[in-house]
Amino acid sequence: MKDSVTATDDGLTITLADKLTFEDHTNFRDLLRLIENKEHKNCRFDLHGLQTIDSAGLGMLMIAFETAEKAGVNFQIYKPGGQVKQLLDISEFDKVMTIVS
Amino acid sequence: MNELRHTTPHPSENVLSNETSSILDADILIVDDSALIRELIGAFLQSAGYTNLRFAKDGQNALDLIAESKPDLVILDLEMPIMDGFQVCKNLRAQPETKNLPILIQSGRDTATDLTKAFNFGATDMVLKPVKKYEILARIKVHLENQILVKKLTAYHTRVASELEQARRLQLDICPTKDELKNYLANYNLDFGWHYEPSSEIGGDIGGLFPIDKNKIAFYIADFSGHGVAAALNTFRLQSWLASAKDLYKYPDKLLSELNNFLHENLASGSYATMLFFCLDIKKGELIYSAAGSQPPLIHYPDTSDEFELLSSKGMPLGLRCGWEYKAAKIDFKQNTRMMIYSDALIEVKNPEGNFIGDEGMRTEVSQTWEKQTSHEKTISKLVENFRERVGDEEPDDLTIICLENLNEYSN
Repeated sequence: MKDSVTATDDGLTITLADKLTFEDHTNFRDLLRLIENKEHKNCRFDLHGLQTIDSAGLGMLMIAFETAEKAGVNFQIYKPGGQVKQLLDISEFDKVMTIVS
Repeated sequence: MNELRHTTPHPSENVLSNETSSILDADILIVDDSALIRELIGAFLQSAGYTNLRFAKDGQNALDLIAESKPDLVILDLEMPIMDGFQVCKNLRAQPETKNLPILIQSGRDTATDLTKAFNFGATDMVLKPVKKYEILARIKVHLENQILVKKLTAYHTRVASELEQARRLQLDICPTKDELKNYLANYNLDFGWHYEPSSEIGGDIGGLFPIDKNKIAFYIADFSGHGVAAALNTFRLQSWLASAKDLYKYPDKLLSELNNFLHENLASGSYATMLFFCLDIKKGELIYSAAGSQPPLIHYPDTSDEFELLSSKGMPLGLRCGWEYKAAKIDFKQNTRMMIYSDALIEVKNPEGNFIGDEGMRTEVSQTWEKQTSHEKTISKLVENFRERVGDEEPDDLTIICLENLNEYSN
């Protein structure tokens, strides 16, 4: 997983690229802390550069959403593509969270 | 529920502990034609606490003693009558049981040629005569510790491999046998084909069949997230839950809703299962199913085109959201309607052009493979063969393929 974080007045943008898999759970935990500390009202996961995601990665996105939900932070998934979009689609994540295509 | 729970794996402490105390019990064979040197080395070892020493006066004598019982380490002279040390090395390395036995050469021959020859013949290490006490003790300690560590790791590995194999068999037991499938054909006129192949490290795939009454039968396919033992244990958890939920088999949507809550409570945060649960009413020729994010089933209605169609399998994976309500869909499933359900491993492989097969690729492949006159077995064998070619040398994930054709006749 390659990740970068930008924080502006609009909120937090976490950009993930390459792959999101089981191996990334430690790094992902650090990203969750940024959501938990409630410094930002909005959190966007920019997935336009994410090529693949495995079952553990999908679980992590749900955990990120639930972390935001608990912290009262608006959560958004932004421009998922390819296999990532397909998996989010078949798993009906759009019924739970905002997914901007 | 919003933290990542993962434990860091660490080797069992038993595997790595207590090497030092146990090396003093090691069986050490000292081989030299000089009684004086045998005694000298023996005395060095005894002074360091080694208690289990044997002695041989030439190469043949050494091989005889090793054949009686394999030592943990051999200290070997090179120049000896009857059989020299080079020959002993060669003989020991040629036999599987002594292939890895540590051999510490002690010799007065110190030319580059001698050293090279000794190592070529299989020596593990070498000390030069005159033997210095602390040098030989230090080297013996290193080789014995390595030896004991390797033995323990090998034993540990063998035990874990055997336990995994037992677990694989337990998973295989859950699948219907060929005889059971024949019974379904005889009793329900339903022709099932079933292929289940857990990966060598076992995994999260599972499927099963539940007869409800003479007109109804339920079946399912599920896949737990993650790999290995944890995912496999969850398959057993699922099977136990399903065995106690017989009343829900006729209502796939209710079944998934309740199962979702059970798994949400019991799985680690972020873990989940994808699933398709079906209830087939033979009398009506109707199939009711509910989906939780599985691979889309492939269906072929008779008297339509030759192509299979993809059914929707959209649904929140089980265990992620508490209280989620699952929906049921009803489709016609009359005479000669065919369906195939399968795990994601089948499509998450690449074709020779380097592209993933995907849902659409599999739909085309099944349409071409499962023609009207083709049996399930042939279809499944062909799909498995294609899969293996695509996987190549990589360790494949669990693979499940279930085919079904309804052979019952219906008036109008």
